[in-house]
Amino acid sequence: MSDQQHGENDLRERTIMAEIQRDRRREYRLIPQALIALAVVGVLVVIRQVFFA
Amino acid sequence: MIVDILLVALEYLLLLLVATGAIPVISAAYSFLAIPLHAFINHYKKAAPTLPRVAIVIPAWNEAAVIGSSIDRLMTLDYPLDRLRIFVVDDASTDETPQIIQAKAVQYPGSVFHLRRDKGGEGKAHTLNHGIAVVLQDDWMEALLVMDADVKYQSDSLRRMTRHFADPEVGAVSAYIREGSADKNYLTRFIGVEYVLSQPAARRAQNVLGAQACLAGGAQLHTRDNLQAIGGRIDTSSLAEDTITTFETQLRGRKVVFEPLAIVLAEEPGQIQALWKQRLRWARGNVSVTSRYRKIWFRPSKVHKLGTISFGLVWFSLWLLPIAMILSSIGLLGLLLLDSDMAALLFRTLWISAACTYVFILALGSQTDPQISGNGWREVVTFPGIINMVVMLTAFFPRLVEVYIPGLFGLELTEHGLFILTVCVYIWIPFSMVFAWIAKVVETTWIGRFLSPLLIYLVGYGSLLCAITFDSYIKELRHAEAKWDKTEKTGRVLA
Repeated sequence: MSDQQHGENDLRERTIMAEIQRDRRREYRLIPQALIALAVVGVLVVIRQVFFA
Repeated sequence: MIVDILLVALEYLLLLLVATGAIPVISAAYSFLAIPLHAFINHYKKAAPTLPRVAIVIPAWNEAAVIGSSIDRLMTLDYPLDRLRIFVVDDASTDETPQIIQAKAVQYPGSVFHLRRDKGGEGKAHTLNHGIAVVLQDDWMEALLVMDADVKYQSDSLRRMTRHFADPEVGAVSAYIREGSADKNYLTRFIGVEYVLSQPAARRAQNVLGAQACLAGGAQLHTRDNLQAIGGRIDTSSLAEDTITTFETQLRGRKVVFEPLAIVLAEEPGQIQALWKQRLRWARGNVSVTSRYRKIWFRPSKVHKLGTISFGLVWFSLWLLPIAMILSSIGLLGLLLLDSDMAALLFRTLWISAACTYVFILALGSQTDPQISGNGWREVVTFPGIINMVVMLTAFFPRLVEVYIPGLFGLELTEHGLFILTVCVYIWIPFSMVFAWIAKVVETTWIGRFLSPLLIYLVGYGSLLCAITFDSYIKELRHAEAKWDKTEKTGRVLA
């Protein structure tokens, strides 16, 4: 394998590794997303308690 | 005295029937509450740059409209071309499919191969096995990608799948099949929302719980070892070959990973009748899977997690959802007729729980693919069905439907009117399935053009799926022939 090919492979590996780390961090978005969903449910429950209890 | 005892016994029986309606609600809530845990419990920490030699096997029966562009698309994948071979298994096509594949084999020498079956029409699994037998003949293939002829891979999707093979415990990886028709209608938008809820949302939960129910038929990647361990072929004895492959992989102690960021676009049915045919095939396949693996349900194992209570609950609550809904309605109606105080309390408890769960599922699920949810926001909002939403409002906001809304029109419900309304609300769910079936029946008539979409928006897409599952029970009980029906593809995916 030539030096150029080695270099290309190293670059590809680094790029893929960076993508994995980025995708891993991206999963943390699920926590605020779940909190937003819970908040929507919470608003409904509050409306019920305030206006329809 | 005996009459009193019988009445009490009957009341308990009816309570039990109502309780069956809570099982799918609990199961759905449990699954979706597990989704945020995917932030911590995921497979990315074991993923690493891995680019195995991948053989792609594409079954193709009369796919002239789509196969050429699918091959072109695969050749633009961000993946080393010398590590990619495409084997298109032409299942004795009678259209231009063979000529197109041969032209592509000339255009991409050494990358595209045309395999021809002389006897076709036996189904996807037989066609795949023809290609798998060829790719297993030498040692070149390190991973096998099974896909459909019409799907379009995003350029980074294969790379995002193979990275999980850095972990030797992984046997297979599934991608996210996203509805990608260019000419969307109300039904493809509903399917798009359903796929969002069932894949980037629910399958993340299955990643967390450690057991996947099904690899996507149009995008499943296997290691060579896994393929050989499951017999070197796809099961041909049922209509649920993807589910059986998924179960066989996990039963041998290998992991199945869902990769939500590997996106594959697929063309889905734009007509209820085509959807019914496709889903009936899936539902009947699931009946055979449930029976075939009867010894694993609810029996925890050290080797796999298919026997956990949580996985069994998810599996059976989806499969038996129509029965649970019917039994629950019978229970509520029975309690109402017995003049039991429990009827209203149970109805409210059940439907408030269902409403909260539904809202949570839709609010969280839709955020996992904002693009599809944004384009189909009407279908997200009306996913449960407009009438079902009114039923939920009846439970959630007492007096709103009974008092305030009639009051807006200067009306007041009489006791008799309230009783009729209550009966209608209690028995609505089973009837929603009947209306979904009517939407299918009238679809091809002149009135169906307007009535079918209207009915689906009113009764809900979920009721349509429940009606199809119920039809699968009937077909199974009648021992109707279970045959492979290919879903027609016309090349509507615009990548």
